[in-house]
Amino acid sequence: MVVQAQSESFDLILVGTGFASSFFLKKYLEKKEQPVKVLVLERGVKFTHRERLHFKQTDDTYNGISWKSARKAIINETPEKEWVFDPNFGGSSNCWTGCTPRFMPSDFKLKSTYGVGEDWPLSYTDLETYYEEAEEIMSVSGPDATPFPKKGKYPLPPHQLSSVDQILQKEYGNLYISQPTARASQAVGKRAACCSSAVCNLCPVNAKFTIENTLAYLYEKADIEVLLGAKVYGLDLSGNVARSVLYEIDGKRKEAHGEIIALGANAIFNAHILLNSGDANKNTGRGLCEQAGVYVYLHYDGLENVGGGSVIPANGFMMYDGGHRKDRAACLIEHHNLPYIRNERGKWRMLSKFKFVYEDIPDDGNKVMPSDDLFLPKVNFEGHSSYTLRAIDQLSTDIEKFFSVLPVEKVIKDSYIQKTEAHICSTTRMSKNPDEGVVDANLIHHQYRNLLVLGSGVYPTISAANPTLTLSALSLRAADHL
Amino acid sequence: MNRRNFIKIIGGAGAVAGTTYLVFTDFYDVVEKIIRQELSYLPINEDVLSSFIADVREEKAITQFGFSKEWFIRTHFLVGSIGKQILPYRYKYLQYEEQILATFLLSTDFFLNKMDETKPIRYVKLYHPYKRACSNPFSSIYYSNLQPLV
Repeated sequence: MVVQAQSESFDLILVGTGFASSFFLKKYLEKKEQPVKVLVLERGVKFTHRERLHFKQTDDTYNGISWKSARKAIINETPEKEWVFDPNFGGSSNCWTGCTPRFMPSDFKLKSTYGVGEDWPLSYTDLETYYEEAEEIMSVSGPDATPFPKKGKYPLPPHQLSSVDQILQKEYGNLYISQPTARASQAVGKRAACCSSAVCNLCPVNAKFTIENTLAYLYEKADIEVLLGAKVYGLDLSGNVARSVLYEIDGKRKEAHGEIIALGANAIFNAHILLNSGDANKNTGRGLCEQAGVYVYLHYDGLENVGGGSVIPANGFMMYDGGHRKDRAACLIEHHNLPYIRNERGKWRMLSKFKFVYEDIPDDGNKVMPSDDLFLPKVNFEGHSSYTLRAIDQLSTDIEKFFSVLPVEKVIKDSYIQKTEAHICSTTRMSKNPDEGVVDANLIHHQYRNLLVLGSGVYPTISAANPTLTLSALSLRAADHL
Repeated sequence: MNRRNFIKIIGGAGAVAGTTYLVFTDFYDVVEKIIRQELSYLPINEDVLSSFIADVREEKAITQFGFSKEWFIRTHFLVGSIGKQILPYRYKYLQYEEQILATFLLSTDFFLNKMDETKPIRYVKLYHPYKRACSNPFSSIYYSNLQPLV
């Protein structure tokens, strides 16, 4: 039986409290001159940083609720491919690493530039001011020189490069930079300065931007009604309007009406909710996608790798953009700074651990599918594209080409792709028309014009860069264009 | 007894002995043996090693290995002493071995002393980023003289 929520109708109903929802809500509230009634439906619970830290110090399981337990929140038909998320207040800000490179201008026009994938219905320029705003909100640390266009400085200074990074930056200039990151290089707000503890999924000193440490105040405003433990399973779609949100809380099914409804859950759940609701768009759920990561260890002759200022002190863009993207995927390089060692006398730290992160092209065969269970999305992933695999095949050659400036003694390359990059993308892609995607450039559903679908699910192509900054900027832009 | 039966018996006995070893050997005993074997040239006294092993037993947190990785390490350690190239993924075992050694050495003052092999190694506390934050000895905190080239 479905009963009405306490407040019958809301100006805005927001599903989820992660990056996509929170950045949208921030801009939405700033733009409203009149008081508004907002209902926020969050399926999980809310932990403070202190509580999460306590769980880590004791049993490491978040009291049974963690991104590992999130495996049970979906029906994964291909469990060898993992999808990582934290279905609680603050969403994946609770488990992200805090990497915030922007996309490159060419990422928005992959089809017209390289004849691959699709173009986005908006450009880098359209998003630039929102990138700046998102970086300001997150207090991103980063360098002055970047491979993507950038007008001003980052809010915080860059993290120190390691001894190895300095050699690579000298060789490659702005194609090898201190990583732009939401791991604060100086104390800011409630956040301490990052000290490279290298366990960023939960920062021991709270240096990493999270919704909880910076934007939780949004949800404490008088006009915002937040329901925790509210599991959204569908929408009432009538004609071309999304009339209400259907959810379950405390074992009871409820319905709430909204003038505007914004889905800000992750790309699996947003698609699942739409499929449950009978969304007729043929593209809904199709294109489930994320990058492919491969680790490589380089052993050096006489070069110690020390002094990195954060868990990933640097990003390399040497294998990212260029003519090769006509044939194979872009690659973003991450230099990792965990306290790993080499078991050879006198050569303990004469090594590096790099991750090579490759873009992928959304494929309709990888998808969120209609599920028999209202609350459990069903996903299937057939594999990464040949475009991505061709680039990975080239990795040994690329290492020889781009790392010969270092005194490399030995290369140890993982023979497998990581199970996940913890980025879920492209199940509700944006497009100029409904034949090619689910939402328009303002993240409004092509058919239901009061329904927004937020998050990285809207990416027509996913680039090699981490998705969070871009999806946050898109949420700011979507609220600005309402 | 013919030659074939003799080989079968020896092989079977070896398999039983190996399985028994794997089942009944405590993982932390394997950890201790790996440290002794690989770091024999460092000035580590018994107190340092026993303090570390006692702490990892209590915390059950060494390098966050799960059940399957522990078995992988036990198996490779056993077989490695017979013939190092028998099992696949040897390079992965060596990476795990390095993680064990790193956890041990990060729990001492070895890296804080900039890897000086002549100094006696003292036990500090079990390396645990949530109980000893900011203790990554290779980070900018301990090498602040490197300046970023922005």
